[in-house]
Amino acid sequence: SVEGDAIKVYVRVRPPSEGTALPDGDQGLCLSVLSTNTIRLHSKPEPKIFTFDYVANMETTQESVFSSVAKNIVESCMNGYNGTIFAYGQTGSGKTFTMMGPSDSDNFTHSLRGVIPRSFEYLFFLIEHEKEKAGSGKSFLCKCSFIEIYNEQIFDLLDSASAGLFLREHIKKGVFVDGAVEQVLSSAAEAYQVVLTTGWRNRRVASTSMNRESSRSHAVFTITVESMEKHNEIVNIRSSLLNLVDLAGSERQKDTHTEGLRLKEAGNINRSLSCLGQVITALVDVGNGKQRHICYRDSKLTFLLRDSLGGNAKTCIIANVHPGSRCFGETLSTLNFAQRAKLIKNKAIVNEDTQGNVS
Amino acid sequence: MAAAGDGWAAAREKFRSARALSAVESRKDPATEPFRSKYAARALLEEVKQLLSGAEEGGDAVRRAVLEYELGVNHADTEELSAGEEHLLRCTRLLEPQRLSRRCVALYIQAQVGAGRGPRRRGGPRRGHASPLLVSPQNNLGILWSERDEIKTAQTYLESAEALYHQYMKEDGNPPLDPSEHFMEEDEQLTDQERSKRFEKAYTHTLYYLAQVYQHLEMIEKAAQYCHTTLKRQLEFSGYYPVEWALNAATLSQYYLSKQCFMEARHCLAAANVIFSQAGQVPSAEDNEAEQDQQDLRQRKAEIARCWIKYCLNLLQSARKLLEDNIGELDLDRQLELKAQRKKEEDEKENGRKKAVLFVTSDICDSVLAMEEKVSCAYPLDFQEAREIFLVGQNYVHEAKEFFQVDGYVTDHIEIVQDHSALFKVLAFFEEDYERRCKMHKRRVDMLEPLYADLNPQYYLLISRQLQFELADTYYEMMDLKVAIGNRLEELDSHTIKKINLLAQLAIKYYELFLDSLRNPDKVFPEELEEDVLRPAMVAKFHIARLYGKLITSDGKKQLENMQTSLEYYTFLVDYCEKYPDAVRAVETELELSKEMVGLLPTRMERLRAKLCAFI
Repeated sequence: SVEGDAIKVYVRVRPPSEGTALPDGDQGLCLSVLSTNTIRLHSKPEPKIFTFDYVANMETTQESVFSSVAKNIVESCMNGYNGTIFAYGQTGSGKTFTMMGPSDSDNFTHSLRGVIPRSFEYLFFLIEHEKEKAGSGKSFLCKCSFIEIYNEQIFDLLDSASAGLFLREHIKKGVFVDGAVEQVLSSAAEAYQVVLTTGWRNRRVASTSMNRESSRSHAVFTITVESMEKHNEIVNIRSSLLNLVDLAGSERQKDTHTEGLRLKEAGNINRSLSCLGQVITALVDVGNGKQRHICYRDSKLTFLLRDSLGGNAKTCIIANVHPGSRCFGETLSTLNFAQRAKLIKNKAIVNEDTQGNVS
Repeated sequence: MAAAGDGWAAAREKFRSARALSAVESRKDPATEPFRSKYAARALLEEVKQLLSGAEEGGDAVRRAVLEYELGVNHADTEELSAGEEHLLRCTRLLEPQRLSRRCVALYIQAQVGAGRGPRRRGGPRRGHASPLLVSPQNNLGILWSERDEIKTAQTYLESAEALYHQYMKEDGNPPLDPSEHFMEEDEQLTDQERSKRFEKAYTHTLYYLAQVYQHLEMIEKAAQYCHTTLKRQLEFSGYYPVEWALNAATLSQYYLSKQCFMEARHCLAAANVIFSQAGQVPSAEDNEAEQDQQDLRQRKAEIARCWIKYCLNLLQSARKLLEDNIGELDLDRQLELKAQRKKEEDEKENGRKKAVLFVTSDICDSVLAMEEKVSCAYPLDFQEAREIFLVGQNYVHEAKEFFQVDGYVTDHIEIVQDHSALFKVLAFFEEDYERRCKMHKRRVDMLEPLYADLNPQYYLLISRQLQFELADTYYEMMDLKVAIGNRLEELDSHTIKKINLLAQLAIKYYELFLDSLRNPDKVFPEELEEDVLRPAMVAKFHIARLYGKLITSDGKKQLENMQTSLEYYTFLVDYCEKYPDAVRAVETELELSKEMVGLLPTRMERLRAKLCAFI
C-alpha cells in the first residue's frame, strides 16, 4: 500500500515556556495550528503554511500522541517489521518530554509518561495477547540495547565502562553495534525501571563528568522482538526491531544537511583543511547517474538507522517545535526538515539497462 | 620617550596574553561559559588600544589595524557579527592606502578573507585527527558574511583577496610581514622563510573558501578547479595529512569521472596512491589505539581502491557507449573509425591541457607518472585493451575486498562485488566469442548468487532487489547468447534446448522475486507503482513476457500455456500505461512492442489451437 512507504511526519507544538509568550494570548507566538494537519508560521512578509501527517497542538495529551504516532508502529513490529520513531527539534522544544515524559520522574505509571514507556506497555500487552492466543506453541524473546552517539563516537549506556564501540553489518541481522550490551526483558516495568532509568541516568551522568550536554548527543534505544512458533516439527523464527531515537538538539546539527549556505571553516592552517573533502563530496554528489565512489561516509547515526531512513521499515518522525517567536529561526528550520523528511522514500535504484535486450 | 617605551612593552605583553587566551585558553573553557577566555582576551585588546591611542608615536596605523583585526575576529568568534564586521572594516580602511606594502598585505588579505569567511565552528576537533589541532593564531579569522546567507558578499571579499595576492606577488613578491610581527620586538621577528610559509598558507585558505563559495553558488566547475588548486598548494607547501590528502584527491577523481575527464581522474588517483604511501605506520602509545589506527589506514586504502574500480568501470563503460550499435553490439565500422582517429591524435600529441592540472611540482613527480603508466586513460577500442583495464580494476576489487569483508561490511562488500560483476559485464561486450562471453556472465552469477541467498531482505531490501534484478538480467543475457549460438547450428540439439529453457526459467525466477519484493505486507501487488521502482518493475514484466515466448517445448498444449502467460504479462504493461499515462514515458519502447504483441499473440494462439485440434 502507498501509506506504508513514506516516512510519516508528526509535528508537536509544546506550550510556551514561561517568559516567552505574553500572558494575554497570541502575541509572542510565531505559529498557529490551523487543523490537525496544517500549521501556519507567521513569517514575514507572507505567512507560510505547512502540511504534515498530523499536527498536535499544545493541548494534545501524551496518550493521544502515542496512539497516533507509535501504536501502529509497535503493531507492525509484532508482525515482523522494523519500526523507528525519531524525535527531532531544537533543545527545549519538548523532545525528551514527548519521548520519555517529565524529566524528574522515574515513575512508570506517571500520567504524563511519554512515547517510550507507552510503547513498552503496548508491546508487552500485545505479546501477552499473542501468547494467550497461540498457547504454548509460541514464545517470545525481547532484548534491548541503549546507545548514545556523541561527536561521531558510540557509547553504551547500559555499560558505562565501555567507550568507543563500532558499527558493523551482518548479512542476516543488518547493522549492529559491535559489543553493545543486550539485556533480556520480561516485562514493560522491567524495561522501564531497570534499563531505561539506568541508561538515561548514565546519559545524564556522562553529560557532567565528560563535559558534554545531552542535547549534543543522540540516544538510540533498540528493542529486538523475537518470536518463535512451533508447528509440529517446524520452527518459525521471526525477529524485528523497534528503534526509539532521541536526536540531538537540531541547532547542534550543523554538520548535516540542515546546514544552509554557510562556509565551512578550515581546520588548521598548519596541517590540514579537514573540510575540503566535504566540499568535494558535494561536487561529486551533483554528478549525473555515473558510477562513482565517495570516500567520506555518512554519519554514524544515518548508518545505524539506514533501514529506517528509506528502507524496509515503518518510520515516523516527531518534529517538536517551540511556539515562541524567539525560536522562529529554529522552528522554521525544523519544519523545513520535517517537510523534507516526508520525501524520503525507499530508493530502489535497480541497476538495469535494457540496451540490446529489446529485439 | 621612556614612558612611551614602557607603554609599548606593556602593550606588547598584553597583546601576547590576549592571543594566548584566545587561541589556547579558550579551548579549555567550560561549556557553561564557552567564551570566558575570549572575553578576557577582548578586554586585554581594548586595553592595548587605549595604550596605543594614548601614546601617539607608538600608535601607527598598521598596529591599530592589527588590533582592529584581532577585535573583529574576537567579536565574530563570540557570535557578535555586526561588531566584528565594524572592526574588520575599520582595519581594512586603515590599511587601504598601503595595502600592497610588505608590511600590510598579509593582514589586509586576512581581513578580507575574515570578512568573507564562514562561521567558526565550536566544539572539539573532528574524529579522525589523531593529534590535537595545533594552534595557529592567524587562522582564527573574522566575520562571517556567509552566516547571514550572503554568499555573494563573501565572494566579493574573497575574490578581492585573491586578486590582491596576485597583484602583490607580481609587483613585489618578497615575503611579507606576518600580522603578529607588528607586536614583536625586532629580535623576535620571523625569518623570511617563515613569513612566506604563513603568507602562502593564508592564501591557500582563501582559495579553499572560494571553493566553498563557488560550490554554494553552484558554479561546480569553478569549485572543482579551486579544490584542485587547494590540494595542489597543500602539496607544494607541505601542509597536509597524507591520508586526508589522498582521500580528497581520490574523491576529486570521482568528480572528474562524472565529467568523463579520465586523464584528470587518473592523475588524482595516482597522486592519491603515492601520497597515501607516505602515511605509513602510525606510532601510538597504546596498543589498542595503534590497532585502531591501522584498521583506519586499511580502510582508507580500500576506499581509494574503490575509487580506482570506478575509474576502470567508467572508462570501460564509456568506451562501450562509443562503440555499440543500436542493438548493443560492437560496431565494427565505428571501431575502425575510432582507431584511425586515435592514431591521428597520437601523432598530433596535444599536451597543452595536461600541464594545467598536474599536481607534480615536487619530488613525487616520478612516482605519480610511474603509477599512471600502469593503466591507460584512453578509451579501450578492442578486447585486448579492454582486458588490460579490466584486470587493473579486478586487482583493485581484490584489494578493496581484503578490508571490506562480508562479515562486518555487508553493504560495502556487496557493492564491490556488484562492481566486479559490472566489470565482467562490460568486458563481455568486447568479447566476440559467444561461448566465452557466456562464461563471463556465468562468473557474474557465481559471485552474486551466494550473496543473494544469504542476504536478509528485511534489512537489505534495496541491495536485495538490485541483486535480484541483476541476476535476472544476467540469466536473460546468457539465454540470449545460447539462443544465438543455437541459431548457428543446423538443428537445435536437446542439450542446447535444455540449457536455454533452464536459463530462461532462472531469469523468470529472479524477475518474479524482484516483483514479489514490491508486494505489501499482505502480499498484494501495488495498484500504482512508486516512481522509483516503476521502470524496473515494468521492464521485469516485459522481460518475463518475452521469456515465456522463448521457452521451447514440443508439447503444443504447454506452448499454448506459455503464450497465454506471455500475453498476460504484455497486457499488464498495456493496461497499466492506459490507466497511468504518466508511466508511458518510462517504458516507451517496451510499451510499443507490448502493444504489438498483444495484437499478434491471440491470432497466433488461435492458429496453434486450430493446429492442435486438427491432431485430435
